Amino acid sequence: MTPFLDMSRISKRFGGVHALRNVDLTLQTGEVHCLVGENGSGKSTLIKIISGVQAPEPGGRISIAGQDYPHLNPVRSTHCGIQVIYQDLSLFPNLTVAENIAIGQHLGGVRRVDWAAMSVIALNAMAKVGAEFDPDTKVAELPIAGRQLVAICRALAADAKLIIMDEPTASLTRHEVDALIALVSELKRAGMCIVFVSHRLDEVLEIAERVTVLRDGVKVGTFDADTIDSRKLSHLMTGHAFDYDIHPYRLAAAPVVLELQGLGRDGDYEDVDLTLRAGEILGLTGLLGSGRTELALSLFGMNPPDRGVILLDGQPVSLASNAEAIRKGIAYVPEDRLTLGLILDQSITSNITLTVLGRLAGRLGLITAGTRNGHVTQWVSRLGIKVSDPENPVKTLSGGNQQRVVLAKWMATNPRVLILDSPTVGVDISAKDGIYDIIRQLADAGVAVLLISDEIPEVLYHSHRVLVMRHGRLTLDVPSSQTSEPALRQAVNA
Amino acid sequence: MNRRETLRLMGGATAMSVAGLPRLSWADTPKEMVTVVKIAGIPWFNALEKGIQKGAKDFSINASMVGPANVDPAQQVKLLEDLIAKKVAVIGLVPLDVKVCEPVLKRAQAAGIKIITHEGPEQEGRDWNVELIDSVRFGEVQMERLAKDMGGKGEYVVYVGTLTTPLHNKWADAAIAYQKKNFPDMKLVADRFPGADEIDTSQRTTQDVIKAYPNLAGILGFGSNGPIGAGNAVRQQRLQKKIAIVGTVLPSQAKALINDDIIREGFLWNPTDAGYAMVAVASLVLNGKPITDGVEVPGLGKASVDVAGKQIKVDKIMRINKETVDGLIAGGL
Amino acid sequence: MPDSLKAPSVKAALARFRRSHEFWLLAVILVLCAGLGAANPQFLTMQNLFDLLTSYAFVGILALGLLVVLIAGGIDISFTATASVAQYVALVIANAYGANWFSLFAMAIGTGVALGAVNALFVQKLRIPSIIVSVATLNIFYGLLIFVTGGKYIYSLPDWFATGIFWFEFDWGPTSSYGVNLQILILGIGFLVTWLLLNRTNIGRQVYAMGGNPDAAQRLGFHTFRLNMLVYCYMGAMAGAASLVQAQLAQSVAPTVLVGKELDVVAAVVLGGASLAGGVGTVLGTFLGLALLAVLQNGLILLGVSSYWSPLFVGLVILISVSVTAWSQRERRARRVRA
Repeated sequence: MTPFLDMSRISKRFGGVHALRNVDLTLQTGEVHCLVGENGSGKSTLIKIISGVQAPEPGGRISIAGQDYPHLNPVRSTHCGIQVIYQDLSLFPNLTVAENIAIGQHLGGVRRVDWAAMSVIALNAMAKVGAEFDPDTKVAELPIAGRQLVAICRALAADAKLIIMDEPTASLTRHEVDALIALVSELKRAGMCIVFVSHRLDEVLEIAERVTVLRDGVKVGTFDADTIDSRKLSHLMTGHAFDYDIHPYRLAAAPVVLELQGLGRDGDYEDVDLTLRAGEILGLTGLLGSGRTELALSLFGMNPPDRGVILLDGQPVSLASNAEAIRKGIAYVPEDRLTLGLILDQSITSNITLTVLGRLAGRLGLITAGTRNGHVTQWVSRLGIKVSDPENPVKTLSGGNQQRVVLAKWMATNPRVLILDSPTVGVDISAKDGIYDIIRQLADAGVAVLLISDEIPEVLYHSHRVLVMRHGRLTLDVPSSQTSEPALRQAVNA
Repeated sequence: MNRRETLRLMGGATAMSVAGLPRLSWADTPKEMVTVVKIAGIPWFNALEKGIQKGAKDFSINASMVGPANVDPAQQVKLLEDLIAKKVAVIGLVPLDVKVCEPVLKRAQAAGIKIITHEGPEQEGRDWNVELIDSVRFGEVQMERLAKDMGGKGEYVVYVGTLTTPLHNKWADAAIAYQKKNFPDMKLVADRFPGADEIDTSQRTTQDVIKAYPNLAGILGFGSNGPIGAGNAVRQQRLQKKIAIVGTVLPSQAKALINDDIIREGFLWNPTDAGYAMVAVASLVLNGKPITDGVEVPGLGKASVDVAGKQIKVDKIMRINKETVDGLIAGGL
Repeated sequence: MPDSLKAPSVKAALARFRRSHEFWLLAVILVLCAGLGAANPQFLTMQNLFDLLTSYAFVGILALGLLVVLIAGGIDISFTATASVAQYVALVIANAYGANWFSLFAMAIGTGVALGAVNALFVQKLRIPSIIVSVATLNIFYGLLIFVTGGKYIYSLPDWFATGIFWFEFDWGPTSSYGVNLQILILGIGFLVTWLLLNRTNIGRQVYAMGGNPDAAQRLGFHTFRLNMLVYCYMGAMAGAASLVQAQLAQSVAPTVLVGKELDVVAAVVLGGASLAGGVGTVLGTFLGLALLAVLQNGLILLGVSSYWSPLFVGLVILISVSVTAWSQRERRARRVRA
C-alpha cells in the first residue's frame, strides 16, 4: 500500500545551522504517528516543510499519495489534504463557530457571504466529530477543549487527509485528553492520518502506533509504540536517562509552617485542613476546576476565604492582599507563567527585581544600577538561567528559562512558603529536570513548598506527600511512598 | 509662521542676497514687533494683519503677525518663546488663555521686551492692553439692540465661544446685567450656551433651544460663528419673524443672513483698526511718550486710559447692518 | 439529531442579543428616551429625530469608517484632517470649474481614498503602529492644508450645493417642513453600505478575522496588505463623504474647525462596543453609541440643564452605560463558573 506521505533525505539549513539533516519520514494512511523531540530538535521545521511554509534543501524527496514533489507550498500542501493545527489553534475568537470551520469560504475575491452554506459545512464537520455547538456561538465563548474541536472541524471541512496537531493536549484536562484520544481513533478508522507533536510522553504512548524521535535535527528512529516506554523515550530524546524515585517521607519532626483549619470559600472549596512543614514538598493534584488553584490564590491573599483559619507558624493570619502575603513570606508562581508571572516585554533584570524593589532601594528610595545588577547576577547563577544579557526582554528566553526567571523573582523575596502552580507546563524534559532540581534544593534549604500539578507522576515523584482535591474537597492525603500512579489516577478521576 | 510670513521672509532674504547690500547702520534698523494672534489664516486675523501692516508703514516699525495653526494655547506659548529667543522689541498678543500665557510673558518682560495685548484685559505680564471697545459698553449696546427688536419683552438666550472665554463672558455678563436693570420684562431662560465659535455646533444648539423654549424671541450670540449657526437654524425653520438674532459677526459671512433680516444687526470692532492701534501704542511706548488719559492715539483719536489697570480704550464699535455691510465687505472684512 | 443541526432558532438569536453589549446600550438609550420624552414632549417628535440625524450625520459617517478600521485591528485618527482636505479640494474645484453632485462626491471621496492609502502604506509596509502613523499624518495633512490655503474659509459655495437636497418633503406645523436632506441621505447610505460590507461580503468577514487573530489570518493565506489597504481607504472615503455633509450643513468650508473633533467619533464607536484591540464591533452598536451621545447632548438642552453642568452628565451617562455592560458580562461569567 502506498504511504500517504513519504519523504526522504530532508535537510534544512538556517545560515550555518542544520535544523534538519537527512531526515526520512513515512506516514501511512489511517495511522496515528507521534513526533517527539526537545525544543530545537527540528520538529517545527519538519512540520513547516510538510505544510509547505518552508522549502527543504535540494536533494530531498517528498511524495504525497504516490506523487512526487520537489517541494511544497502552502496552497499545494493544503490542496493535497495536509492541515496543521498549531498549538494556539489559529482560530478567530470573534467569529462564530460556523465561520471558523468554513473559513475557506471567506477566501478569494469579493463575494457575497453565504451564511446558509457555511452553516451546512460546519454542521457536517461537527457531525463527524460528534460536536454539538450552536454554529452561531462565538468561538471566544467556548472552553479550550471546544475550541480544539472547532480547529479539528476546520481541518475536516478543508478535506484533510493528514492532520498535524502541535501540542494538542497542553491545555486540556485529563477528561478532555481522553475525549480527544477517542476522537483521534475515530478519525483514524475513517482513514485519516494523524500526526501528534507532544511533550507528554505518557499520552504519546497511549495514542500513537508509531513514534518518530528527533534529536538535534537528526532522526533517532521510528519505533512501534508498544516496543517502547516513557523512560526509554526520554532517553532517546535527550541522550540522558532520567530516573525519578519516590521521596522518602521523613519530615515529621520539622516545624509546621502553614496550617489550614476548615478553610472554605463558596463555590470554590470547602473544609480544607492541611499542614505544611518546613522543608516539605507537598503535592496537590486534582482536575482542572477542582478548586486547587482557587485554594492557592486564597493562600496568596488574592481570593479571601469565607470560613476557617490560616495559621502561619501557629499564629492565625488574615491575608487580605497579595502584598500582605508576600510580606508574611508566602510566594506564588502562577499556572500561566506567561500571562501572570512575567512581564514579557520587559528585561530579565526588571522582572527579577520586581518583587524586591522596596528592599533594594537605598537612601531616598532610589535603586542604584549596581545593587540591581548584583541581585540579578546572583539569582541568574543560582538558578542556572541561561541568558546572554540580563537586559534582554524575558520573551527572548526559552520556556524553561522563563520559568526559572519566575522562580528567581519569588525566591528573591526569601519566602517561607512557596506555592508552585503547574510549574512545568510547556517546558521540555531537560528543563523540567532542572526545575525539579531547584524545587528540591529549595526544600532542602527549609522552604515549605506546595506543588500543584495536573501531572500525576510530577506530584508523585517530586513531593513528599500528595493531596488530591475533588469538587473543592481534599479527598486523599498520603505520603508518596505509600501510593502509586494508578492509585492516584483513580482518586483524581473517581 | 503662516504662509504669508514665510513668503515675506523668503522674499526679504532674496532681496538682500541679490542686492548684496549690508544694512546701513544698526541705529537705522527699525525696531521689530511681532504680534501673536489666536489662529493663523482666518479672515478676522487677516484683517487685523492689514492694520498691522499699515501701522508698520506709518510708524516705521518692522511689524508682522504670526499665529498657531490650531486654536491651542500651548502653540501660542511656543511662538512667544521663539520671539523671546529672537529678541524682538515688542510682542503683540491676542491671548487664547491668559493663565497659560502669563509665565512666558513675564519672562519676555524680564528680557526687556514690551508687551501689548489686545482682547486681553485680564492678561498679566503686559505693558498695555488695547481695546477698541469697552467690554461693558459692547455688551450693553448689543442688548439694547436686541431689546429694541423684541419690544423690550420676551424670552432670550445667550451664546458664548466657551464657558471660559474671558471676553465673551464679560460681554455676556454686561448684557445680562443691562437687561435686568432696563428691561425687566425680558427673561434669560437658560444659562449661556457654549459653542458659538463653530457654525455647526451653534446651529445644533439653536435647533434644540427652539424646541426646549417654544416662546423664545431672541438670541444674542457672542463668538463670531454663533449668530451664523443660529441664523441657519432659524432660517431652516422659518422662524425669522419670531426670533431676533443679534451678535458679533463678520460682515462677509453674515451678509446673506443680514439681508434676509434674520440677523437683525451685527456688532464688532474693526480688526484692521485693532491691528493698527496695537502698532500705534507700541510706537508710543518705544518712543517713550507718556500715556495718560485722553492721549491722542495717532489715526484713531483720543483714548481713555486707565494707567493703573494698563488699559487703553478707543471707542470704535462697528455696526453691521443692511446699510453698512457692503461697504465693510469692500473694505476686506 | 443533535440540537445544533436544527435550524438556528429565533429564540437562540434573541438570547444572544440579550447578552450583547448592544442590548444593554439599547436599554440605556430607551430609558433615557422615555425619561426625556416624559419631561419634554418636544423630544419624541419627528422634527427632533430629523434634527438629530442631521446634526450627527458628520460624526456618524466618520464613526462608520473608524469602526471598520478598529475591527481590522488598526486605528486611524487622521480622519478629521482627511475630511478637511477633501472638502477643501472638492469645493475649491467645484467653485472654479463647476461640478455636479456626482463629480463633487467623487472628488471628495477620491481625495479621502488617496490619503487613506498613504496611511495604509505606512502601517503595512513599514509596520509602524497605526496610532503613530495616523497622529503623524493628521498633522501632515492638516499642516499642508493650512500652509497651502492660509486657513481661509470659503463662504461662497455653488448654489445647488448650498441649497442641498430635500426629498419626501412634508410640512410640520405652520412654520417648518422636513424631508430627507443630504445629511440624512448620506448617513443612511453609509450605514447600509458599511453593514453590507461587514456582514454580507467575504471581504468584511476577512476584516473581522484579521482583527481577531492577525497571525492566523496570515497563516490561512489572507491578503492582509490588500485588506488593510481597503480598510484605510474605506475610512478615507467615509471622511470624504462626511466632509461634504458637514460643509453643506455649515454652509461654508472652514479648514480649521474639523480637526479636534476626533474624540467625539472615537467615543461613539467605542461606546458602541468596538474594541481598540480589534476584531470586535458592529454597525448596530456604532449606531447606538452615536445615538446615545446625540440623545444626551440634545436631551440635556431640552431639559434645560445648565451648560455648566452638561459635561458632567455626559460623562456620567457614558460611565453608567459602559458599567452596565461590564457588570452584566461579569455576572454571566460568574454564573458560568458556578455552573
